[in-house]
Amino acid sequence: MRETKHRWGRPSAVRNASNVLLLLAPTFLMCAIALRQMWLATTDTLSPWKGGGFGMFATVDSPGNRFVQICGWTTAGEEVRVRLTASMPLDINAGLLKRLPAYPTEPDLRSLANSLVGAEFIESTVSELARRDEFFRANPQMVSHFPTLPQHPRRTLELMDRRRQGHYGAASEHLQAVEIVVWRYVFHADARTLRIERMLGPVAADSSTSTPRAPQAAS
Amino acid sequence: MNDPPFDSELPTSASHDIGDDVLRLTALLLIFYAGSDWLLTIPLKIACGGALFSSKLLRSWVLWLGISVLVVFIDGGAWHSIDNHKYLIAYWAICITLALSWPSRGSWIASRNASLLIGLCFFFAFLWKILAGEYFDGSFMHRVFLTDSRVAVPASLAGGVPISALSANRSLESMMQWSPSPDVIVELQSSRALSTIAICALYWTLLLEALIAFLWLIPIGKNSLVKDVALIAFILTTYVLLPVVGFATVLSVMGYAHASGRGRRCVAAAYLGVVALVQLASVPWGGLVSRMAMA
Repeated sequence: MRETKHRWGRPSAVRNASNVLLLLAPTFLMCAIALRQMWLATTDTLSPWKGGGFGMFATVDSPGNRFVQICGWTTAGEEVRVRLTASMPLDINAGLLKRLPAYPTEPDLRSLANSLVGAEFIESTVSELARRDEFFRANPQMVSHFPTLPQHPRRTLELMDRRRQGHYGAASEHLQAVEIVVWRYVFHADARTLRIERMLGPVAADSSTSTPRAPQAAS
Repeated sequence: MNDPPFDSELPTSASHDIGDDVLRLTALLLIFYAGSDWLLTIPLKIACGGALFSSKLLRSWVLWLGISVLVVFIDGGAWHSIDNHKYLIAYWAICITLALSWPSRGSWIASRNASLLIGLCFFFAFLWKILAGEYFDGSFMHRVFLTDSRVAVPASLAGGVPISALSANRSLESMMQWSPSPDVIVELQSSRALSTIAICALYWTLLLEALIAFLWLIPIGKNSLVKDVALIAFILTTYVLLPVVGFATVLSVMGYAHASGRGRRCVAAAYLGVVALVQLASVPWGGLVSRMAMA
């Protein structure tokens, strides 16, 4: 290829600039990604800790300080809590569960809610209620912090793993409606107080709006 | 391909080719800290392990291009959930590919990009602390001391808050998830001393981050020893307390590449020492101290 040169034999300015662009490509890439992250974290729900903008340790709003609350209603009309873990064998995208705390979006919440309606659940062996009661017995002065405790649903359900079907003592249950909310913690240094605020939702789905699910294949 | 017109920037004593030591350190960095998924971890272990044993593979730009493509695409698929140091590792892998594909300027490419990546990383970290607005009143760092189990022991020792009180803070925090309501307000147990320490710690971090960004980005600080001292001080004071060993290692490897590219062997050796030292941050000090206290 013929090269463009000055009359003194030096490469042209255009060539110099393209060399610099190529050699410093990682740096330019970093700037582009960081600026995009700043845009998404300030105008959307992306956590400042994630997305390559180096906002870690700048704010309380990390994915660990956000949580997803899932309420369900059984076919008998009982309100229950739903516990999810990312490793559950589920007909929904596992990436979605990982993404939710870092970058929750309404379409993702809707997709999750639709997946849960009609899925098979089993009563959780992790009794949040027992843990809570145990803590309050040891720290009675803390009860006053929680005026809404009596409204806490009595039972927690988790998704049934068909590969472990023989290990479950109880029969599976289905939910006819699901509601999902994303919350985040807010801390006030002066008063040393912690509270939570609703970040996204509620997003609801019920058996009339979601598509019927094919049964999970046993392996 | 013509050489780029950067001869004036290169020190005469330095070799123009990127050193094997930088490549080996980067291979180790990728083996231990780049993978976010088995899809990436397994090929990285094979490719980087091979590079560690064969100098031909170590200097093959094709191998490093493959590694960079893998890291960018697989980590990029989880862009919303991976830690920021994984982004930095991906940028650094691209730098190594560029440096090897242009051998006569390899050292310059690695050194210049390392300097800019470190400077920009601290610039963005500083900018976020200003933008987020939770930093100046101390709320962020105070919250970390009160509820983060990783800093419970130093917070208890320095701030005079019993370990049991910090543990109760964490229980209260997790219980807020059981019956979420905006009406619930929980007062965390703390002390005035801990609040003061939180404010001192955050201003120390902010000052160091601004200084590091300034010194590593401006051309005047090109050969300044202060910038290396500031970076090493930051790594040792921050990552020993909050053990993000991957971040500490990638910063140290880039610091090493920058120093060795400019022929500053003592500074490069100091960075190697830092890489070794930060591994101690992985020791569960909190658990050990608690067990010793109970015994």
